[in-house]
Amino acid sequence: MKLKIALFSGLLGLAYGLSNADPVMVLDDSLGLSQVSVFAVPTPAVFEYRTLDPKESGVLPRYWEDAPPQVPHRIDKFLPVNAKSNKCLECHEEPDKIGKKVKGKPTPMSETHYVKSAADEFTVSNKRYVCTLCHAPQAEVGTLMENTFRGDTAAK
Amino acid sequence: MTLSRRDFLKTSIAASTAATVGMPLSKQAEAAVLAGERDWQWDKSVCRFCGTGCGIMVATKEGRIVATKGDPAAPVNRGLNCVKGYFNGKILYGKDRLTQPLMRMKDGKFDKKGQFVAVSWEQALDEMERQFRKAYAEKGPTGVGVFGSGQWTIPEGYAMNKLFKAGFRSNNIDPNARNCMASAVTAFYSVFGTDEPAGNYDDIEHTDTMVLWGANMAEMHPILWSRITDRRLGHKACRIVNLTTYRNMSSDIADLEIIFKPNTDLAIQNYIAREIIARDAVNKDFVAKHCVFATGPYDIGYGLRPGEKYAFPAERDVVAKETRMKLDKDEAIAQRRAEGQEVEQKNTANPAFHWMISFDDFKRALEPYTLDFVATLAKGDVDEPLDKFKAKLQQLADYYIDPKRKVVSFWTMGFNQHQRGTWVNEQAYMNHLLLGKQSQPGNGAFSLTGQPSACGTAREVGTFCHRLPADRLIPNPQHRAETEKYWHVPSKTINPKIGSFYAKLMRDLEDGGLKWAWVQVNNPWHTHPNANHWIKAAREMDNFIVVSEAYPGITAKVADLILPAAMIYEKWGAFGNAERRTQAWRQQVPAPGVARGDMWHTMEFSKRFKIKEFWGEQKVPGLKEAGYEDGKLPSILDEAAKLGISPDATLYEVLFANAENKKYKWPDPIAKGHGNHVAELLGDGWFPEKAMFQEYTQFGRGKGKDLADYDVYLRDDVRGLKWPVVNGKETFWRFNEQYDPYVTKGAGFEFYGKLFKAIPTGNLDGVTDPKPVSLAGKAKIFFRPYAAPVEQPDAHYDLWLCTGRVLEHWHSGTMTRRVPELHRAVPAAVMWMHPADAEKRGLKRNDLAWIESRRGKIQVRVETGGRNAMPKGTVYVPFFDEGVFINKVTLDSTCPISKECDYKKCAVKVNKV
Repeated sequence: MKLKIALFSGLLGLAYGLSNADPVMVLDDSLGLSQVSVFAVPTPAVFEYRTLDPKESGVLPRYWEDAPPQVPHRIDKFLPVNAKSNKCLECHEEPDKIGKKVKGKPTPMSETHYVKSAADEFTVSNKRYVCTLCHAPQAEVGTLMENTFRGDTAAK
Repeated sequence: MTLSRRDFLKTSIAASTAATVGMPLSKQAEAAVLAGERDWQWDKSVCRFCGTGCGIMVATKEGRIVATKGDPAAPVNRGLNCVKGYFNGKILYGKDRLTQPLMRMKDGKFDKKGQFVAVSWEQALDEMERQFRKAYAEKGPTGVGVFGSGQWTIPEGYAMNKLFKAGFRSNNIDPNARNCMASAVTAFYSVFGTDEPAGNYDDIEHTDTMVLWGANMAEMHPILWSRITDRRLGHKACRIVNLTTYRNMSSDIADLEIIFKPNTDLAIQNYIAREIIARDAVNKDFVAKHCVFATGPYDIGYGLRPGEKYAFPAERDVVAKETRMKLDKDEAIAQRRAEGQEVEQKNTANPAFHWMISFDDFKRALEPYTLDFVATLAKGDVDEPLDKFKAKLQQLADYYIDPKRKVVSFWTMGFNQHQRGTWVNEQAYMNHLLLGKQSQPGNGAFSLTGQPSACGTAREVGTFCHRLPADRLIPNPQHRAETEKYWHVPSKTINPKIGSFYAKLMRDLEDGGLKWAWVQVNNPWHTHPNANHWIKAAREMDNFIVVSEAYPGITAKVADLILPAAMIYEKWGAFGNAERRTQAWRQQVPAPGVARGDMWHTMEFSKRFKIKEFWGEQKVPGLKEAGYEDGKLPSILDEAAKLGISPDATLYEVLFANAENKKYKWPDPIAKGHGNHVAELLGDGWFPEKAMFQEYTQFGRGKGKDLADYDVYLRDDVRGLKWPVVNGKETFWRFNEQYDPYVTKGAGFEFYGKLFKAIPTGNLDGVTDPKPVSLAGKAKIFFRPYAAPVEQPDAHYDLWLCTGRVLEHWHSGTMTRRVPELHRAVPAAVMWMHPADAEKRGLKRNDLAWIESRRGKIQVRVETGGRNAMPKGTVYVPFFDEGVFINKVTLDSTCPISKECDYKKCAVKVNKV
């Protein structure tokens, strides 16, 4: 398997200099994410979501600084979010702490998640009520395929 | 549009304030953001994924995407994205992007049994051309084909459609949208005579009742779900019903959850119709003025390939039902026939045929659908008491019938991927039309789509084997003539025989009828059901398969030639979403390596062929049409000469870079500094995306499908427009005089679609007077009976299998699984199963199991918790994971009318590994 991947990575390196390169052969079984023959029946691995409680989980890196954070802690105990109950809000609804993240404390939801009521009070926007539409818990698995997105390196 | 960060924030705050009274960013936060993003260029674009059609803002710097976010000015999503949508910018950057052509070779030349070798574009196109000529010489127009896509941009789909139908005179072009919403289309045609929904997403904010029929919108249309949740939580009287075959995330917000058995949605709809009549709730004025009643034959088969020749031994008993089906007790009652009767499926050749019936006949047909009968038949959870289920059905009928309630019915794949998909779509309109709750704000049956341009490209452009742009059909001589006129090609260029639909293209490969196939913007060998057949056909038969792809998925692995494709923000494009909204975007970044846009692939290929190679006489086996010699397309070269077309001109010169199209010059000020690699590589000074779009707009203008000019969609103040766009104004609700300029003044409502609007008259048993009667301006209320699924669990294969998507991944996962955050969100497909079903098989959560059908078997991990709760007897496996290749197990039965495959029901067994 290692050899096949090496061949394939080598091929990627050729992108800009094809005419000078020797032909590189790529085994079709080594292409793609499952890297087996299309006739084969692979055995899927077991995966588990992070089991850390919110207090111990820390935060995960974001895609870019304004992007929605992914969930660093377990949420199985807090789901489902339904019309009667939203346990995520119990910790993350903190309209007086917007933009003031404290290490070890819940990340306060951003200002985009609130609407201003007639009495000038901030209430959670119903459009943002189902948290898992945008924020997903993360499993403890390796990367399936490396991603070369690097964002704005100068901004970091 | 190139916004500075400051302008963008201003836009964003203004828009979000208007929409939600959002809080402005604090000055400090704004300053911090500005510091980091000073030299980013923002431009509007759209999401790559589902049919919702969310607006996206894309930020670029030095030729790379650095950020994406929901577009606050977009009316669809108002700044929000779902978890996939937020990662649009990252899908371009998987490490194994295809950056150069790969061809199977041995000893320095193409060999079907060879391994992939990197080649130049010239070598790739040379071999592709050679193989094309070989196939065309042997089989003519029917020997070549295209697996197209609802993810094609509008100009890409338009160009390939034209190349195949006008250039190669082949109708073998069909999109994966066939497997997504073809049943919706056939019902739009039969009921309204024109495709696509009357309403728009604003219906959500106008209604107080939303009924989901086989549409898990919480996962599959998350942004629409956020709007539905907003409506539900903000309006006490609002009610949401989730009709489904298993408990899913949409049930978390729903007020009423109805778990039904596969196919019994047909019976539940008829129960509602029966109640509407029994409670004297028919809107008699609306129905009398705007509707007629209709029905059709019941015995139309199941879209399976007839005969045993290609069936695996285990498949034969099910395949035999394509010709003869034994009625079970429920089906017999539902169809007013005798239990155990062996019914010959004698209407498989013309399953869409229908005729008018009287209201009395319609009412009589509904008689068997009593609450007792339907509840007993439909109850999908064995643990639910019958009385409770009955009360739910009554509640559902109450919601529809209550004159004070507005009702929107939403559906997607549960209805469309259905062995009676056309019927069940027609039934949704049946109830809305009976009640007069249609084509008004907050009232209407609303078919949603799965893909970003299933509507815009597949349906509106007509990239199907039987369609032409703007509701035109191949078998209609007038439609062909109009198309030939707009294309400036001779009369009789277009082949009058419809081509092979998506499932048939696969079957044609297996039986050797199709020798050369081109795949663009989809992954058919991963996503088409009963995959073992097609994998074998691709790898072991004598044929040539080319795939234009961005990442190596299953289709690339079975192909003979892989062409590296540019992705969404690497090219100019336009999509059309499920509410008729057309949206366009600019190229934002260059494609990696020598990857290029699909339209460049198509046009560059067209340069290699001359008119005289295709416009002479061609053989088309089975062609039988007035004015044509049997089995032949005539030579049109003389006619071409009269139009000034030289036989030695290339297809590129005649179909694409002609004088008319070359009036659209590249560079164009609309680009505002953005590049266009397709125009630059073609290098002859024209703007192909704009020219194709402008040429295409001719087809719909004045026909109820009017699009604005290309440049309008790129304006800074436009976030897409809902067609028909008449006098610069978009149309919010079709067929309603208040909103739709096509409705005759004074008519109130008018269902003005033109297709299938003259039909015979008859009764429930058949036609009594074959003379077609015109029903111009009216919609049809169909009676369609319950029909049992062709394959059902038995002693050997004892479970139902349902398949579909998950929120976090798009289709076959080739893009989203290369985003680490999305991969970690759902790393692999699992099999959701009731804990008791698992225990019975010695299985528990995370155990490895075999799931096996008559067609194939794979391994999968068991999940007994999480977001879905299965009733006993049903399992669910998503299809995104090529490592859990569930389409080796699924059944390729289709709705016989729409030819769309049913991914939602087949019989399987599960054992511990």
